[in-house]
Amino acid sequence: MINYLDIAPCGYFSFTDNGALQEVNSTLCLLLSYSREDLIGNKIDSILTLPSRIFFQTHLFPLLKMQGHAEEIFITLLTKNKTQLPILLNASNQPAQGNNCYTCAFITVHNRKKFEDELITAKKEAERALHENTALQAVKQELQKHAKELDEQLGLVNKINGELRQINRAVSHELQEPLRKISFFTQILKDSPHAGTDPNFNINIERVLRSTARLRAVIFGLQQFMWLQDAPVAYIEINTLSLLKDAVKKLNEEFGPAIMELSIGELPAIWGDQQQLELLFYHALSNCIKFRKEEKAYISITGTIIEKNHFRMIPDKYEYREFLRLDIRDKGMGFDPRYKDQAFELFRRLQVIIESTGIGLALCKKITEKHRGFITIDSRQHEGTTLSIMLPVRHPEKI
Amino acid sequence: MKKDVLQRNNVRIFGKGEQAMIFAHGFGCDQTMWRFITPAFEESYRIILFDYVGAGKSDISSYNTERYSSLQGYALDILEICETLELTNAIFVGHSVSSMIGVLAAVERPEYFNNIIMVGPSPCYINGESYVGGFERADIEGLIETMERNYIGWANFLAPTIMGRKDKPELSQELTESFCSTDPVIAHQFAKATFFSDNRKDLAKLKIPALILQCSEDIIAPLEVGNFLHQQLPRSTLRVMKATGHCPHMSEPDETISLIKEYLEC
Repeated sequence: MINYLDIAPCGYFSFTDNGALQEVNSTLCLLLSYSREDLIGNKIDSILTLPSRIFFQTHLFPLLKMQGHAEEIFITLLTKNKTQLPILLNASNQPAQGNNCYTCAFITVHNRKKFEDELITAKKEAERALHENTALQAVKQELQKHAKELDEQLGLVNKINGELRQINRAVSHELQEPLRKISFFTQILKDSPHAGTDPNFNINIERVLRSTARLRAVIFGLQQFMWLQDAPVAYIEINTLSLLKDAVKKLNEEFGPAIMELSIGELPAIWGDQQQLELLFYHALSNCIKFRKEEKAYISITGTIIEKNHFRMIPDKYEYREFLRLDIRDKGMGFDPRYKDQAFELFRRLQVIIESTGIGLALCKKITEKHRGFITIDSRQHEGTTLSIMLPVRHPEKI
Repeated sequence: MKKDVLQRNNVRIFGKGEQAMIFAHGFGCDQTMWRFITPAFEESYRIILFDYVGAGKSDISSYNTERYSSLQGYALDILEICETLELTNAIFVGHSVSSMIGVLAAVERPEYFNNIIMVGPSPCYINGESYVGGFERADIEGLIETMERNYIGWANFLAPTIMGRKDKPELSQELTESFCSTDPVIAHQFAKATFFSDNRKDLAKLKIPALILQCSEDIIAPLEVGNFLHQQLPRSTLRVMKATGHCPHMSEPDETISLIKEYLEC
């Protein structure tokens, strides 16, 4: 029987788990121009073309291992003279010869391959046409739907913007003016000869002055917030490190030169609005200072380029772009991470301290989103906070 | 969302441990390829298995050509699973291309992962200037052709893809029952995303430790590639295995298991 198999009009071979050829028949040797001795013990890879080797490793071997058999597998053998031999292969695990032995029989498919070539070309053509047509129809429908939605959204946005502008005006003038007067008259009271007659008088006057100062800071923050609503992003190439240092300089002027200890990693350049990004860095770092645990704020800043889908609102739209992720870590008070989603809300203060106005992180979020970026915060109480700001590396229109 | 992701990716969770061990299958296969490995870790870990969208028994209707045009889309699958299960300090085990998908996921959200175990990884398959990946573009095109031809043989793959499979549920049934079966268009795109990927620049960004399991005589990820990875990954351990080929977790599960255990226990 074994002699019949040896000269049968089909190729036959067996191999083990590690890919070594165990048996080959004469038909196979003849087809590949090898002698039996050339092949036994060699890896099956040596008689496969490169693409077929990958296919063997990624598909055929896992299939055999999991299922125990595989039928009608198309692969290409490589002869000793480096010519290609397309074959159709059946393979199965033969428990009789040990669990890790696979026997294979194949026939050559030169002519069938030509026929299949034509079939594949025709099939691809048909699929392409079908796909293009279906895709086109879908795009058209999407476009119409979006145009309608966009129109409604724009109307709504316009209305809200108008209202916001009115509020902004009210905040700037209507609140600013009485506040200025309160400060002015309180100052007069403080300097008046009656001051000091009552020991509580000066304490209360100081309280009024502190509260007005705080109110002024809040109004200033709100104005910045409102300004950002309308301000366009004036894109220029930003030297991230030097802009960060500008923000640090301002904070040092405000809080003192020894207020923070910074370690800054390598930071690549990005495109963005210089003024807005400086404000972003200022508020991000100012938060680290305000919520420090010790005399000094210990802050580390690292930058990593990552790729991210830049679509945020439309589901099922994907396009991956480069973002710079700035991780600003401090060893400050931190907060309960359960509340991290609320951290960016306007006037939401997770830790009540006097210097905090509850506007800084809301501004950070606003600026980041104006730049089509993403911002997240993570924190552990008493351990510290990490603010991650992801900003697009390139100009949005120059991609 | 929670249920959706778990269903979409056919996520299976078992095991008695607390720390999560998430196994990601490679190109051409599905989660069942890990079946020789997971029993060894069930006692001490919480095992998480899944299929990428488009593979195995995942929800094929969730496939999105744009999303999965890049390995980033597959990394998103992992991140969404981690987010849904609220994983932290997970051990990520990836076979072949999943090693790099794991790197992308861990660079974006390091907090989910403790370390990465890479089985037969390669950051770039195509040869470049002074880089040996093992392949030329023509080889990969040849692979895609080989795949296409095999789909002709497997008659159920002739059905038009992606769109409108819902009307023929019996077809998807048949499809999911055969191991390593994938929709041809999806497999084609995965092959391109895998073999034309170049993640060399991402290696230095990986902050967590990595174990590289390098097979002997692996034509898909040759030894040069393993050495390159070891050199570029800041906190990596390289172990060259006795196992040959590209699937040591299937051909030599015992060696694979003992190397992983050795690494995790030290």
